[in-house]
Amino acid sequence: MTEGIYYILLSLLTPNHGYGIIQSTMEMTDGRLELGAGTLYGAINNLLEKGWITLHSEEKESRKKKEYVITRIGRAALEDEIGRLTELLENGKRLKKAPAETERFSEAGGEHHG
Amino acid sequence: MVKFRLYFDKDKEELWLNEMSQMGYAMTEFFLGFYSFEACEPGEYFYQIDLFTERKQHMSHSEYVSLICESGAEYICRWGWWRFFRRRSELGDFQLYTDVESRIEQLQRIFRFFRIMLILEIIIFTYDLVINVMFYMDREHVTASMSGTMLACLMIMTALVVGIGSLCYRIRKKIDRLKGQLI
Repeated sequence: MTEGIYYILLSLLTPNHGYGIIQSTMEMTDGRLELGAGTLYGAINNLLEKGWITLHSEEKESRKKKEYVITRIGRAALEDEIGRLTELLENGKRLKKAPAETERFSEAGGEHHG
Repeated sequence: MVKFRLYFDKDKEELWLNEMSQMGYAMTEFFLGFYSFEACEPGEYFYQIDLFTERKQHMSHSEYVSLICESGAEYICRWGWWRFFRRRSELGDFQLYTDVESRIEQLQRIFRFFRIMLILEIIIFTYDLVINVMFYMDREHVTASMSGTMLACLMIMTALVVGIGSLCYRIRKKIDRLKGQLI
């Protein structure tokens, strides 16, 4: 799952329209990730195709923008991804905290070269 | 101001439009290779070009265009399947595709588009060639001017086939380079 798809799914936990997704992604990432309109367009089409999101409202007469919302399948995929990311993060933190081994290795390497 | 340019590669075209904007010329119209410009503040706009081909989409192209406009950009014009957009540079960098995966998808769409063009060109080229050869075999029909026109046609067709062929090759290379970044 790309980080774009991840944030789109997070933005659609409550019904949201296209530009709303761009805005809430910007807010969540403190302005770091501004989803390009083309990237979002492709992603919405793919996610609708997969059934991960669905059309929430389509009021043609009131000129209201189309809103999308996450589905049960989408929510399951998002939860799987959160589980995977949590594992990545925990492993990264745990192994980074034990630098003694690596330091000794690099010192040994340094002596060898010297 | 009007400038004439023939671009097959939209990346180079974008680069040129952005350079023109840097020099204080904002593109406002396009027709058959003629680009119209008006004066702007140097670097006032960033330009983006996209190819709209897929028809069976859940989200329509007009919804896509309004999404682009909502994000602060303006729709300038269309040319066939191509659409031109620009956004004021004060709103930050303007990119329609912000990750490698979607850039690859866009390039693949452009690749498929030019591949169809290439196949059509080759069919027309072959047809042209056969007709030309038939005229030479049946000498009674040959007049100097006719064969001259035919030869000119053949030369233009050859140039197009070679041009679009090498463009397809370059797009494939770009896709491969982007795929390498994914690892």
